[in-house]
Parts: sequence; C-alpha cells; structure tokens
Amino acid sequence: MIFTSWVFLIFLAAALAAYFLLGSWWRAQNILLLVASYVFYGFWDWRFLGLLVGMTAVNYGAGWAISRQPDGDIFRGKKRLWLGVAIAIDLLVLAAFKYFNFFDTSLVNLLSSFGVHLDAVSLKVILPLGISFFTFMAITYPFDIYRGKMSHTRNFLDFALFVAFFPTIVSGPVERASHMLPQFQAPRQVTGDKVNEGLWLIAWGFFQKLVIADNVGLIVNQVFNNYTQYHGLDIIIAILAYTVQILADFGGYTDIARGVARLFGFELLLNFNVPYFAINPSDFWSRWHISLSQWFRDYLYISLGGNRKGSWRTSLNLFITMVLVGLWHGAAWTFVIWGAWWGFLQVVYKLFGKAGQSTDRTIRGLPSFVNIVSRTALMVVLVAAGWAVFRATSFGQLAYLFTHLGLATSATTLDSLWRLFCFTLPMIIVQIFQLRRGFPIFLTQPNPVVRGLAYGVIIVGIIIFSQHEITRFIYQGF
Amino acid sequence: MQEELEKSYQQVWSYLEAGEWLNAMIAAGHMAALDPANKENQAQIRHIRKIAEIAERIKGGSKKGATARLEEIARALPKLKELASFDALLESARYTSSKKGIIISIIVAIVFVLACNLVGYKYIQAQPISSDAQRTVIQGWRGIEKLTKPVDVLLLGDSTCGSNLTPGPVADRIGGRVINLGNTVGSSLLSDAWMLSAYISKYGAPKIVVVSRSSVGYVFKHSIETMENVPLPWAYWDKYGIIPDWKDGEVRKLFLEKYGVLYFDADYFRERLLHVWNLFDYSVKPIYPSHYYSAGYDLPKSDMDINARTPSDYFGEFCYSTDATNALKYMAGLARKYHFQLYLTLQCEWDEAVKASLRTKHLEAQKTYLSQFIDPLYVHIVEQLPKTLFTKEQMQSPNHLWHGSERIYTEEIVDGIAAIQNNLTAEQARNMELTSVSLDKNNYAPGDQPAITFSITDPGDVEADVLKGSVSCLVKPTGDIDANWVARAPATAITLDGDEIKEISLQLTAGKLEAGTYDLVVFLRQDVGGLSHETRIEMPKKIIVK
Repeated sequence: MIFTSWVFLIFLAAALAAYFLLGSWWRAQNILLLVASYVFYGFWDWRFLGLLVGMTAVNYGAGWAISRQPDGDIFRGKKRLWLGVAIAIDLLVLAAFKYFNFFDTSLVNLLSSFGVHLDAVSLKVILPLGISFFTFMAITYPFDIYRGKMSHTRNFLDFALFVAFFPTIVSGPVERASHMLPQFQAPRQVTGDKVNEGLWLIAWGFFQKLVIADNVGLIVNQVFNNYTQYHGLDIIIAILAYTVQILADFGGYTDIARGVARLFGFELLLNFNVPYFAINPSDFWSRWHISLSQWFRDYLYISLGGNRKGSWRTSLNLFITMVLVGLWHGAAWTFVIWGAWWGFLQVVYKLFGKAGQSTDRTIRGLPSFVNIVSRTALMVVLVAAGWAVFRATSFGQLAYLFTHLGLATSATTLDSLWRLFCFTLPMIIVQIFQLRRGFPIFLTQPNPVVRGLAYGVIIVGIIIFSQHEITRFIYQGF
Repeated sequence: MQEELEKSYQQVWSYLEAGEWLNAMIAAGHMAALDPANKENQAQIRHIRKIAEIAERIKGGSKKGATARLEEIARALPKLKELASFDALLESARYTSSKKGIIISIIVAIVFVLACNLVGYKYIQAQPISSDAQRTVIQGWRGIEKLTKPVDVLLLGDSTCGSNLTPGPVADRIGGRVINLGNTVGSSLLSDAWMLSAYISKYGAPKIVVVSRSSVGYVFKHSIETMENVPLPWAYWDKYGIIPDWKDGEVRKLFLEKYGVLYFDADYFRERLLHVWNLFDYSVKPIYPSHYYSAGYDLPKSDMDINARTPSDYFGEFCYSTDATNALKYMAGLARKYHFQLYLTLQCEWDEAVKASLRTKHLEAQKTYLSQFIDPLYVHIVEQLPKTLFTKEQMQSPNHLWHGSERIYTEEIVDGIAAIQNNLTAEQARNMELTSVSLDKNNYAPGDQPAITFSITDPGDVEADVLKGSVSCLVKPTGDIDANWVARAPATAITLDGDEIKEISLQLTAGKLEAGTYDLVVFLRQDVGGLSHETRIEMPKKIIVK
C-alpha cells in the first residue's frame, strides 16, 4: 500500500474514522493502530508479518532481559550480552535478507581474481519492505534501556505499535523507542493545529512526490536508462534532476508520514531541514535524513569512540560510519562508494578546522554573502556528484557519465532544463521560507482563506502535473 | 476513612493522568466531601475544577487566556507538570487553529479547485481541436448549429459516410440542399439518432435522411469519449429522446470526463503551462498527432493487402449493440412520425473480398438485422448495387475510398434511392417527356462546358395539376456506367402547367471534358408528394470532344 494510492487514502480515512470513534480510549486506539499497521504491512506481503512480529519480540525480549538486571558494574556484562544477542539477531536477519547475495557474490569475485574459483550461492529471497527501517528502529529499544535512557515497557502491544507504526514502517523516519513509546503510552490530543499542520505536511508531501519528484524523474530516467545516447549538458541536467528528485521523493514521503502521524496526535522526528542549503558535509548530514544520521551518530559513531580518541581516530570513525551509511541504503558497491565519498568529504572538510565546520549563515555584508552562496553552491555540486554515484546501476554507467560531462547540447537539452527549473521552483520557494523562518512547516500560520488557497494550488498542481500512474518511492527499495 | 481518602486521591490522579478532566473533577469533589476540613483538598478540587472548565472551553475552540490560567494552576499544583496529559492540554491551549478555520481552509480549497476547473473548461472550449475523432464529432454538431436554413437531404453516419458520400452528386441529381454530418465509428448509431432529433427539433424534418455506417460499426455502443466531445449541455440524450444503454458508473465517468477537465485534459494543461508563452496562442498546433483516418492521408499499402488481413477485422461475424438497435428503432419512428424517407446503406464493396466470398455471410447478416426496421413507406435499405466493385487501388481501407472514387459510390446510392422512390411513386407519376435536346455546339474542345437545351412537356391530362420537378444531366464515356461521369449539370427546378412545352438550358459546370465521345444522360424528376419519380434518358455518343 503506497501513500500515493487511492487504496491508502481510503485506508487512512477508515483508520482515522475508527480512531476518533474510540474517543479518549487511547489504549483501544493503540490496538486499533497496531491492527491497522499490520494490515498496512500485510497488504504488501502478508508472509513477512511473521518476520515483523519476530523482530519485535526479539528486541522487546532483549529489552526486558536487560531491564531485569540490577544496576551495578557486575551486571553490566549480562546486560551487554543481552544487547549483543539482540543486535546479532537483528543484523543476521538484515544480512540474510538484504546483504547475503551481495557479500557472497563479492567474495566469489574477489577469490576468482586470485585464481580461486567458487560457485556463488544465491538466496532467492524478496527484500522485505522497510526492513532496514524497522530493524534500526527496533534496535533502539534494547540499546536505550541498556544505556539507561528509558525503562522497559510492560505493554508489548505498545512496543509492537512502535515497530510497526504504519506511517514510519516503510521508509521512516527512523524513530527511537524513547521518543515514540511515551507518546503511545499517554492520552493524545489531536488539536486543531495538529490537524492543520498534518494536512499541510500531507498536501506538501503529495506535491513533492507527485509533481516535483515524478516529473523531474522523467528527465532522470530518460538519461540514466539510455545513458550512452547522451553526453555533455544532458548528463549534468539529469544529475541535477536526480538531486532534486531524491529530495522531493524522500522528503515528500517523510512529510506525508509526519502529517499522517499528526492526524493521529503523534509527533515524528524531523527528517529533512532544507539540506541543499548546507554549507559543509556535517551541516548537510544534520539536515538530510536526520533520523538516520542521528541514529548512526548515537548508536555507531559514538560506540566507535566518536571524537574522543584523537583527530586521526575521529576521521577514521567518521569514514567507517559514512561507508556503513552507504551500505545501509543498499547492497551494491555504488552505495559503498557513495558512503565513502561522504566519508572522504567529512574528513577533508575537517582538515580546514573551524572554517570547514562553521555553520554560521549570518550575512554581514557582500563578502559574507558571496562566501555563503559559494560554499552552498559548492556543496550542491558535491552532493550532486554523490547522487550520480547513488543513482548509477553499474561502474560502467558511472564511468560513462563522469567521462562525458561537458557543455554539449542536444535537441532536448533546453526543454529538460526548462522543465527542471519549473518543477524545482516551488520547492526552492518553500525551502527559502523554511530557512528564513527556521520552521519546517510552511503556511500554517496565515488565515484559513490563504491556507485554503494554498491547498487549492497544491491540489490543482497535483491534478494537472501528476503522472496519473503510481510510482514507488525511491527509499521504499531500501 | 483514611483508606477511602487515599483511594479517592489515587482515582483523581488516575483520571488526571488519563486526561479525563471531568471525571477527575467529580472524583476530587468526592474526595473533598470526605474531609471538608482539609484545606489542601479543597484547594485541589478548585484547581481541578478550573482545569476541567478550561479543557471544555479548549475543546469548544475558546482558548483565550487558557495558557496563562493553566500555567498558574501548574504553579500551584506542581505535580500536574509531570503528567503527559496536562502537557498535551497546555500544548493544545497554545495552538491557534480552530476546527472552524480548518473547515474554512478545506472549503476554500474545494472552491478554488472548482473555479480552476471552470476556467480550464472555458479554456479547453476555446482551444483548437486536438484529434480527428474530436474534430469530426464537434464539426458535425456545429454543422447543425450553424445551418442558416433547412436542408433537403441529411447524410448521417461514421467516417464511411464522411468520406464515401459526397453531397455534390446527391444535390446535382436530386436537387435541393444536402449536408453531410458523418463523424466517427466510435460515436455509434446513437449519435445519428441524436443528430437527427436535434435537427428536426430545430428545422423540422428533411425530405431524405441517409444513414451510412460501416458494417463493423453496428457493434459500437455509446462512447464516453465521443459523448464528452458533443458540444451540447449535459443530458442532451434525454432532450433528444434516446438514452444510452448505460453501465454502472458510466454516467459519473462521462460527467467527470466532460467537466473534470483539470484531470482528464491534464496532459494538455501540463504542456500549455510548461510552455506558458503558448498559453493564449490558440493557433498552436494540437499536441496529439493524429492516428485517425482522414481522407487523403497516405496509409501503408499493406492495409489493403487481402492476404495480410485478419478476416475478423472486417469480414467476421456481424454484430450489433443494444444502442444501435435502439437508435435505429428511434430513427425509424421519427421517419414515420415526420413522414421523411430514411435510407440505411450498405458499404462500398471490395472486389477481392467479393471474389473470395469473405463478406457474403457478414452482409447477409447485416441485411437481416436491418430488415427489422424496414417500413414500406418510410424506411428502406439501399442495396449494394453490383454495378461497381472497388479495387484495392480505389480503396484506402476495406471501408474507405480514396478521393475520386467516392462519387462513384455516391452515384450508386442515389441510383438506389431513385429506384426505391420510383417504385413508391409508380402509380402517381405522370412521367415528364423530353421532346428535344439541342447542344450549343456541334463539337467541343477539351475543357469546354457545353450548354444543353431541353424541351420538356407534361404528357398527362391537360386539366391535371401543375407538375413540379427538376432536370439534371451528366456526360459519361460511351458505354460506361453513370457513376463514371466526367461532367454534369446540377438539377434545375422546372414547373409545367398543362400541356405547355418548356425549354430549360443546363450547363455542364461540374467536371471536365477531355477529348472523346460521350453519352448524355438526362434525369427528369417529378415531385410526387414528399418523394420524386425519376426518368432516366440516355443518349449515346451525343457529345463529341475533339
């Protein structure tokens, strides 16, 4: 069940109606949401519901086991053991479904280059929808209990709802148990403003996906799927188009998820905060897929030692973390390279010290304006280069794309450029507003008539510019 | 007592934790009643009562001062700050959006979308037609709308009517005004019925109506795509007396396709808005390339290769729809009611198909089907006359003729109509008599337009009524069929009173004479009621062109 389908809208309407019929019986509402979430997930493939419940039980059990250990250093080892068991099972499941074939094939290829020839064992398994997301979410539970950030919840159903919550299960945000469980375990107030903000987020999310992402996606697919027929400016435009597409696509998904959650009275983590206005790599990762980058920071980078073990070790930790961020996205060497590219950029910018790490965006005159604009533009170029790697399906394609960049044009260049400009403009306008206001939700404050007109423009835009056929979200594949 | 107090206390806080403010207030009241002297309890119930009151006001949308009062209560009762429910209440007090505001926003959004749709509808109406199917449908209906005076002959049907029947030869022979409203096979016979009904309601009944549809077109039902293009207000099918055989959801679909232009014409708007400089340039070419047949378009030769044809394409079983049957019944009813002649044609025939007997069963089935609508006086089938079979060089497809061949087919149809009318009027007709023919020259040069004078008289009773009719003529290569005429003179009205001999001069203005010897064929038509009786006189080798 994809967010942009009629089936989902009907499902959402039915779920909301039933939810509000239950009034203030929030425990019953939780059960309803859990059932709805399983229906939502089972709609894709009911066979994987067992996996979902199993992963939920493992992490809940580990959390329970950790919480049973008394405080004190002598019990720390047992706590660590239970946490290790949970992480090992989670990663094994993830590896089996997502990475087995990748590592297996890579190993066989590597050995064959040394003259050792083995047959690759290929597992014919479907990648369960959202497995990277719900696994990472579930892990936070035993981890946070282990770290003493939260206590074990007695209600298994609340935890199951946290793992399976339908707005987040497919593509996040990668929520934390410590953030969501308190919300599930208290009466919720669905206020007018929450509904208002939720509606805006949903409308803008749909617009981003159906109008911006899907339309610039046509330019991207045309070039990437027939790349040998293109060169010069067409490739540059396609890479820029993908840069826009992936933000609009994933940002659109996240906004819909956050909006839907708000309609039920819940607050999800902010996932995107005008990332293409970043002025250095760490600034970018504090704005792009925030929930994931913070997850890696809190549960991997800090565990590796973070920045506590000297400059060289900090750089290494950063690099390892970014490579694993890349690998998290998909089982392919292009994702590993993409992660390594970001690790490299983080390390290089660190070499510039405070100047490289500064996120001060205050304009004090023309020189600072030029400085900020040029740094932002440079980051856009670096980000776009990374997205080209991310989008490429093979090394051959990647090599072709980067060796055929230039200013040569074709009969379609101008049209592609114009379309890219037209479809990107609304996003730029909204993001400039968001940047200036420091507030991620646009147009919730003005009077109802202005808001209504904005909704009207969005709906008309969707009706006219959407492709009239459902396309999946990019991050659904991860 | 102490135990009960403690229990009440717990209950109060349990309600507060759950955000059930009214229940908490009731429980606190009970607790205060248990120990009226306890000032702390009395203060607590005052605070909880206030919270319940504020919560109710917030629920009703009134938030003025709520935040300050809640914060004041929280200072007096700090334990409240630990409750998520109290936090949520405080949060909701801070919000400014009311349900009313959200409803207003939604209404404004809906009105905006509808207004855009209306503007879009008007915009689409002003646009050039973007497909041949749309063009033919709209042109047909506008043809009725733009007529300045009634016509005598109405040609209705699909593209076979549009391309195979030409008004000129019909008018030249029968006289009067002729209009061809043939559109597209997808419009179904319902379209013919509606057009006929619309025409009659505006101008009254014509004398002759010819319905010419390809034999494969009878299977077509009402088409949403075609109906949405009809430039008439909603429910014209009710107004023009025949309702389609709707299926579930079709009325809704038609309504949305006809009026929901933002969605159904989204491709058009998308391109226009992306090329905004063309937004108001109505001369811009349509965005959709035409894949539809149009006379004169060069189609692949393989289209007329009988070996490559799948028999079911054109020669399979004859089928018809309920809509077709209803439409034919309705038109036959109109013919009887308004006393006009309704002719149902059979299509042009392909020599190779006839030789291979590919269409025999198909045509037989079609004739059997059509025969149920026949009325001896008003509704007739015009049989495919075996005089002319068309070769694949003359045909563009098994239903359509190349330009030039259509006049041959038209002549055949007019011959068929004349034969039927002669049969109907045989008893009343007096047969005009041609007494002499004189040419303006003995020999003609190529390109000349001969003027021919005919002397005509009424051979009937001197006391009889005035005889009205028309005279027309054509010139054809010696020994050839009429349909291969090379020049002709349009029908000219004539009135004969008693036994007078009237001279009438006709000039062969249509067509062009090349060197050769030609037969002259004269058609004398006598009006009999709403019909006419035709006398054909052939004069071999009458005209010589050197």
